[in-house]
Amino acid sequence: MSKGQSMGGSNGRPEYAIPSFAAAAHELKNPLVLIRQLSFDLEYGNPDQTDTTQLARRIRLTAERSLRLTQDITRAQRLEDSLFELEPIDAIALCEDVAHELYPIFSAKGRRLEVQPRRRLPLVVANRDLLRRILCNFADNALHASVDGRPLQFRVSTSGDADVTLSLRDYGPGISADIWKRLQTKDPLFQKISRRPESSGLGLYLSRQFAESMNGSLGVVRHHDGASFFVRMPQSHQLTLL
Amino acid sequence: MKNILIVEDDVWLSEQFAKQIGKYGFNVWRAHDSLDAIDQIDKKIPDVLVLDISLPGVNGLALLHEISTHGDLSEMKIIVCSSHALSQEEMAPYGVSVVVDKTRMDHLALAHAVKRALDE
Repeated sequence: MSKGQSMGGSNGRPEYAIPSFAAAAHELKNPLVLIRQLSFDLEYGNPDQTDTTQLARRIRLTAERSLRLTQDITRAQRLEDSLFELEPIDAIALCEDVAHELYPIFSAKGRRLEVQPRRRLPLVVANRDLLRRILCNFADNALHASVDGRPLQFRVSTSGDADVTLSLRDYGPGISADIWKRLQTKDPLFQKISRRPESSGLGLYLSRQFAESMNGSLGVVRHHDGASFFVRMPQSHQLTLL
Repeated sequence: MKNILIVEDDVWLSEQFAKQIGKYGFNVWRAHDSLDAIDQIDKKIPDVLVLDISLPGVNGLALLHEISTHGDLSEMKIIVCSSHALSQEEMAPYGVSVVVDKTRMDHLALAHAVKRALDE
């Protein structure tokens, strides 16, 4: 994988504005809109038992997604006050844990989240909870940005002995050059609508904060038919020392 | 029977919208992004387009620009259904007949908007 575009500034400061309360509100608005519409169907749609079960399941999965975001916001607020334990973590096993955790929502949307197998299992130095949250954000982003049925796959790669990169490729539609040009115009309506759905950038902003608090970095590689978001973490040499 | 195309990237939400409109005897089909919508409009021009604005890739406003350049789509009614705070006045220059606020709409709102657009 190419190095891609880092999301951190050269001076360690954010390259773009810190998402506001408005951004958080916007991110939460979409799942709440969905929950509200599903609830209308439960209340007024005369669903049979099968439909009721399906509607209830969708409401629960959508609520869980919103809760993950609110928990991330809370975690980010506490980053500066907390001491996070860094430990050697099996990157592949963690990706598999995340794929397992998110299996219900991927399954309900008819999608698959996989982990590319690797013979040698690299260890990263990270906080398990924060790294898990970053990977969950990647998966959530990919699930909502991807439009075709291809399985989404976590990949773990090493670059020399220093770093381990955990990435997730999505398959959203690309954007043509002329449309992109138009989106850069000063049309106020274009200015206030972002390219990716539900993307104020809040999830990625929080992920970058988590990564940087663990001495890692976040980045993205754009493809013609999607993007690969990655987190690069220091590699643990615990096993080689043994 | 009138044909309605819903362009909404959230599959579950578009299913709900299709159910709500379909109950009133409209023929409803769905697209999940702007390019998919263009493909479907190329095959069959709907009577009403129900369009979300925040779409992956080419967003709804860019799609509206594209539609405005095609003379054969001038009869197609357009409803914008979005959680962005967009006003009817803002959207009128884009050829939009009705704006529905996703955050406030009830289960009847979209079908009513379709009828309103068709009555224009």
